[in-house]
Amino acid sequence: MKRKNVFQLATLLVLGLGVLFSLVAFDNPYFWQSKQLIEVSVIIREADSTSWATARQGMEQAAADLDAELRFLTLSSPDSVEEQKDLLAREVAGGAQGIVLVPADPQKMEQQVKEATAKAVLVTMESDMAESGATACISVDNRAMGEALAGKALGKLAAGDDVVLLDSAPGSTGVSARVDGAEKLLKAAGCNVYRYTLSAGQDLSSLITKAIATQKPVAILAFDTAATEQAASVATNTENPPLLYGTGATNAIIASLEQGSIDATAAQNEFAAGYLAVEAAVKAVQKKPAPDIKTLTYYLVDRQNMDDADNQKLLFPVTR
Amino acid sequence: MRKLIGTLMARWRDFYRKSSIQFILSLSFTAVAVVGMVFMGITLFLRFSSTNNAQLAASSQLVLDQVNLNLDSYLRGMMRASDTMYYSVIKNTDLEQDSLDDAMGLLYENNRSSLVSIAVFANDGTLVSATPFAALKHGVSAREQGWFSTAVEQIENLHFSTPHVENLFEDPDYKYRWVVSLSRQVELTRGGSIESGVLLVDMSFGGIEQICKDVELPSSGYLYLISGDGEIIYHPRQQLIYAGLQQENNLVAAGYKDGSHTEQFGGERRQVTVKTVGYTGWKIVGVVPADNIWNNYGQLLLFFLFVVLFSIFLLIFVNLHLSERISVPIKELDRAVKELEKGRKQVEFEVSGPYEIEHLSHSIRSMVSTMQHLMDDIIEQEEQKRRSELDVLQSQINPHFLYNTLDSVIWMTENGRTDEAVIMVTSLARFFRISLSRGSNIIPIADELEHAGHYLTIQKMRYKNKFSASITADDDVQQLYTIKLIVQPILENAIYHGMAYADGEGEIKIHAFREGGDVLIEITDNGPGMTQQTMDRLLDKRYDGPHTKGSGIGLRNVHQRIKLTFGEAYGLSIQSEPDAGTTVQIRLPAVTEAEAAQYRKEGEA
Amino acid sequence: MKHRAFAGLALALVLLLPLGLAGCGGKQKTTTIRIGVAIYRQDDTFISTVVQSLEQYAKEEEQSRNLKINLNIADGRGSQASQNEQVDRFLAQGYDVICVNLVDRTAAAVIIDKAQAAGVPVIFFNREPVEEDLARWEGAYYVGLKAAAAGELQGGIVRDAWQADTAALDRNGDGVLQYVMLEGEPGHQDALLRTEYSIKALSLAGIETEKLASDTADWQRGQASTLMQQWLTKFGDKIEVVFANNDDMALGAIDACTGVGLTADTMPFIVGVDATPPALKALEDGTLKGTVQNDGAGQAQMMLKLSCALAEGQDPSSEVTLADGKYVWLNYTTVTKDNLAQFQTP
Repeated sequence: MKRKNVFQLATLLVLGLGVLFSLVAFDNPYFWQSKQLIEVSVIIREADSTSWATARQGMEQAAADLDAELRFLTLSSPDSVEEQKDLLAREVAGGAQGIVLVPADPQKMEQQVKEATAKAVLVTMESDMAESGATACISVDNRAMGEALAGKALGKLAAGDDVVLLDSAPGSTGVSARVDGAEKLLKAAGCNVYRYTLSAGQDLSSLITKAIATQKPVAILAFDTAATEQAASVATNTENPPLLYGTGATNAIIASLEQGSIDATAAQNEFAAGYLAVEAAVKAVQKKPAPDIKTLTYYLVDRQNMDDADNQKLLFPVTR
Repeated sequence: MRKLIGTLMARWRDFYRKSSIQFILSLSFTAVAVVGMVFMGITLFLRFSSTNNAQLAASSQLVLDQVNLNLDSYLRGMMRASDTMYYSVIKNTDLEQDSLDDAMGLLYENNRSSLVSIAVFANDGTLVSATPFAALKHGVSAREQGWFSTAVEQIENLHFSTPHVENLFEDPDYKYRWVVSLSRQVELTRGGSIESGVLLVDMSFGGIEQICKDVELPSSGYLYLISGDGEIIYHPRQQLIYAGLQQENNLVAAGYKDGSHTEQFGGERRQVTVKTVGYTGWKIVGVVPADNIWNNYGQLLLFFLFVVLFSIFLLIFVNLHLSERISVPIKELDRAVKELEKGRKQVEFEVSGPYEIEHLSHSIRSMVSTMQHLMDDIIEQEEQKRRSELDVLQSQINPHFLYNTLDSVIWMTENGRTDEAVIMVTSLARFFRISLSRGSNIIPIADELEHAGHYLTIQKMRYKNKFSASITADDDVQQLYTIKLIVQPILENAIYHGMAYADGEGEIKIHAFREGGDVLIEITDNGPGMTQQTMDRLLDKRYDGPHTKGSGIGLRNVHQRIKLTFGEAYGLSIQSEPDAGTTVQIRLPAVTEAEAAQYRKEGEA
Repeated sequence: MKHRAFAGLALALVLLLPLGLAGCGGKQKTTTIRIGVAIYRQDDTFISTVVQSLEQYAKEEEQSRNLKINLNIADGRGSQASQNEQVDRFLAQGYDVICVNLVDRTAAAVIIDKAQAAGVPVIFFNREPVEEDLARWEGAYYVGLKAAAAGELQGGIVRDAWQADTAALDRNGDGVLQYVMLEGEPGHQDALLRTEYSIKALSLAGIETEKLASDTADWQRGQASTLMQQWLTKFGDKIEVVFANNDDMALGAIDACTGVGLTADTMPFIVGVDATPPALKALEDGTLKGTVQNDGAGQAQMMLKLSCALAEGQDPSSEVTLADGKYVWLNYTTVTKDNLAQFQTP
């Protein structure tokens, strides 16, 4: 009897406390605010983050939606593999749970990325590093985009024309894929293709100037944002500038498009790219199923269609 | 169906009967309480939630109304700027002589936080005046712009466009701003003649965004703005929608009338409130996910659950204890009674508890003890009866009397007094026949007197007629019944104690007569009598025992038997004084033959 | 029986534990510092250089101090209301320090009060709140440059050029310096002070000046260009000097001049303030005649040092020099073609 009594009393006590608990705890802000933010580091391969402004907005939106904290890191010298390796190691050591990386040179960074993926989740943009353990790659179909750009250029080219392809980021497999795609198509169409590769320590604008001076091409194709901007500014200072086909959709590029120095540009939805990259990283950290990421769509924007409502939304982000 | 109910009822009844009081009490208390509480809880909850829902809808409406007010005043401000520009400036300016720039600049400065630019175009699309930028972009044709054509088509109205990027003016900073264009057709004066043109006021989208964003709708709802045909003007997740990463039900919402609707979108139910903004035809759409409403209730529900559980348990606890207080004493009582049934004599009946239980236990206790006493009494009585009957049985045989009488018979026969011997033997035979009376205990009084007579005959002979005896009975007594062997022992006593010393003058008289409902048999002798002390002793059963000589039954035995059979009112009484003779009176009830049956025992005839 | 009671009590304790833990938990480990930076406009050239410097210095400070610095830049887009919301968000998310570049310098009090309530130090930079507002709380600081000094230095460039070679500047030879003034945002203390002190520098040197026109171009190149075009139309080459409160507007004036065909030699003497990269380029080209360096990188460095000190709970004066306990002043430097080289980044 006594035993039963005590048991009953104990259960009663527990339930009574449960009542108190449910009364108090839910209104207690402390109780619900102890959710941890997931730390995500973003390492890009440029020194100037203005071309990433839109993508960054997308990343920050994703971070706000998914309770993550972003660290956005730029390099001091663009495309510096050493610095990227260093940053990667530092971030992982510093406790980053997810990393979004735009690799400067996937092949040279394989080892570091493998080490990093052992401790954290890694998502790449632009170039794929799935073999080294990256969870996902948020990118357009690089080869196809290169081909499409070339295709657009071919609209104004004839067989036998000289075309310069700017291989501005030889380390990046993504960019190289674009160049390869364009090269193949142009060669098949019978154009004379001159591929100018940026070597270490070389200045991009001097490369472009040299290319234009040497080849006097009918058209120049650039395959990443930095190259496109540089090419546009070089071209404006040149007499009889070649047709310029570029990649990316920064304000400067769009302005050039309007002015006519760039004929067409291949753009992706930067906001979506940034958002999806962070989302993939965060979901992987939380071990939730990754969202179904198809490769990003690219758009060919030229003077005529840039004012279309859809392209406006693409090119000019409405901020949150 | 009825059969089912019947079976259920039967089962219930069985269950009810087999269960203990405690269980039934607890169960019924708890069941009633639980049902009551659950019912109350559900009712309250439903009431609360329906009130809450109504309030949510009402507050959503209020919020929307406020936003509508803000938006309206903003748009009107812009319209007023446009009006001012037109009526106060353009109409009063002849473009040949003056410029619109200064006034336009002033108006722009005044509204710089909400405006991006003001511009006036001529009908052919050339720029007349603009602030803050002066030059159009190369290749931009104003005439091809949507705002231009709508303005020209409907000249009496102001036209609001949907948000778009302003791409008209040269901006060396390469800035691209999202604007909402407010355009109207105007009449320009040039050199006295009127020509038509278009006034364009580009409102900064930021102004609209400022009004609409961070509006708090209850339970993490949000609101968005659409044009009359459903195109999104503002949405808190606009960029995501444009990027194709998220969907919104804006096209359907465009078809809703003002007020509250429920819709299903993206796998969840939402409460949607719509309000149309005046003049523009834009709609403000407030969305509150209905599931979130339940999320809010989650806590409440949990709280209710806990309270209910707690109360149920408390009730069970209390009920158990209460019913214990009632049922445990009953159980105790029950247990004690069971012990009693098993045959234990001394059972504890000290039970405490509710007043009725205590009273019950006391009553049962006294009943038990009374029962015990009664049983003891019965046992004693039976014993007595047994003893008396044993004596009677024994005396029925009467060996001493037999020997002596037979001796007398032998002597008489040896001495040739055969006639006397015959009388003696005959009397003896008849004496014994009546003694036995075929086993009956109740015989007619006539037989009893006859029995006494035979005895006297024999005794008279033996005592050589030392005494004389007479037996008389009234007529109305003869047919009445009595227990046998009551007179003879008295006679025996009288003879042995009284007649032994008489010398022929001894006299014994037996007389039976009725007195009311009783029958009296008096045996009187003129012997020496006895003292009071002796009289008392004779009838006192403490001195019982076969110590008297002779047949041995004795007066005591007769007295007891009569009392045992007929009751305390009957029996013997002795009247005597020393030297004054003795009268023994036997008092019996008048028992007819019919009534005699009740005094017969089992197995008797 | 004892066991049961004990078990019941233990169960109760287990239920209460999370409450207690959560109540006293929630403090960040000091190995991560979170700094929220609210700027007034991302597309202001000068501010964007400050932001870039901030990010660079943050990386360096992380190395040297061995901790993590999380910078969150929020763009107010010219709306004080937006900025207030951003500040609210920073405070709600538990940032250690906030740096605010006010949209409306009269609105500092609101932000200081919010920060004080949350116990988070606030560092204003580049757009100075009024002294009374800063004095409300000792956790409010200001990192910047004294605007008057910029004006003085700018005026100094013109004065030196005038005194060195008056004929080159004085086109109409009347001995009076005719100028137009491109002003910054109305109400901005930098605009007011630079406008005043640049001319004062001249008058103090005894140079007579005549203002042909002045107007606000809101720190923006495009607007400045439009204004300049109008003035060129109106005044032609009467304009001898163009004062611009900042380099963007100076460049806008240059754009307008180039637009009408003027060259570096024929256009007016144009000076600006900030020494932004495009301005340095213009200096090199000779279109811009002088500018004053607004030490953006220096500001960023000071802000970061101060933030780290405050976030770690140390005495800020150990890291930076504080005037009146709350001001960190940096100095402007004149930049002309002569000393251009030292300001150009390699």
